[in-house]
Amino acid sequence: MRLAVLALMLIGFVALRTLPASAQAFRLTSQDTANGQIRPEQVMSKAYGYGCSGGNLSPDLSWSGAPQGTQSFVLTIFDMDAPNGLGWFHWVVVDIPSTVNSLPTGASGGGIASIGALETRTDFGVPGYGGPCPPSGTAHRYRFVLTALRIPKLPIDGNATPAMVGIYVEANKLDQASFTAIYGR
Amino acid sequence: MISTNIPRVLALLMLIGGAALAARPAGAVDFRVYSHDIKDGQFQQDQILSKAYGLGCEGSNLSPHINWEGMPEGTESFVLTMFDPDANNGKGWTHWVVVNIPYAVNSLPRGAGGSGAVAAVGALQTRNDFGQANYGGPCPPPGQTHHYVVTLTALNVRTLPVDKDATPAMVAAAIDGHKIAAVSFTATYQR
Repeated sequence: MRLAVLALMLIGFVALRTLPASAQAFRLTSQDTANGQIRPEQVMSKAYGYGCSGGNLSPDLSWSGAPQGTQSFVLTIFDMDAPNGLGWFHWVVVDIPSTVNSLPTGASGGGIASIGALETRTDFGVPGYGGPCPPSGTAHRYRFVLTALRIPKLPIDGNATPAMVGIYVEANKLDQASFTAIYGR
Repeated sequence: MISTNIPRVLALLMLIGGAALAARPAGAVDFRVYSHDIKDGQFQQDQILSKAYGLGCEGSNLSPHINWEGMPEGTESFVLTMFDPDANNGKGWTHWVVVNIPYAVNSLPRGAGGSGAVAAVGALQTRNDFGQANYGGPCPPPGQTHHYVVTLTALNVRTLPVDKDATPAMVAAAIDGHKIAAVSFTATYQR
């Protein structure tokens, strides 16, 4: 019994010692979705024809505490409450270099390309940010997920579907940081 | 009180049951979907993804023959989907989507997902999770057994407001509110 306790204490001590001195939790945040609410600037624009009239600007995002060995990041925004039984990917960005730790508001398009990252197809069928626009009278939860990967680039192009990106993410992930924000109308 | 009510309740239930049975048209069969090409619940080699996809499978990528019967009253069209809930992406994988199948159609021939057979009956294939508007057969990672759910949904509308570039998510959203009933069968594949 005493031996077992001693052994456990030793294991625990070693485990603590192996953490790097500066270790901090992997965190993802956004000023544009402060208080867990999505702003009108981030909501889908009128041009999509779904009845919303937001700015369709992708939200700003910042992250810290990426795990050791991170070679790139993948960012997704996913509607957990889409009335289709499958959910809905609103934004997929892959190949975000490990040296990047933020995206400004409205980065979808030129901003993403300029840092060497790649936007792939959302559930709207085209690459690029498509903002929230839940059916009238409903509020949906949008999950923002940043995944740290052990590979620098995914073997895909901009036509890759969210399902395809998901296969590579699951196979190469080191850690994930996430938060949920709500939009209703 | 309870004991005296039992005969009355029974009589009422029997009446309701009798009325429900009488309401069914003569010769009605249950709504169901099936395939003679899928033996013992297993996908056959010719239905597996072809080498050209580069995922390590070497099938013929021929969609299985699909039959159905007993459509519910009010059916205007059908949607057929094939979905792998075991895909290693946390969300599943849609292998095949056919929409706008006219109510008068009750089967799709073998290989319909890669020929003109779908268009010939007036239906439309939309994008699967490979990003293509056709049948993409099973090809799970080596050593894994995946389940493939083939679902036929009867709709109260003749066509969905989608084109061939619609994603599985868009088709599923368009179905919402128009579904009368859905039936399915599941088959597995392991390589």
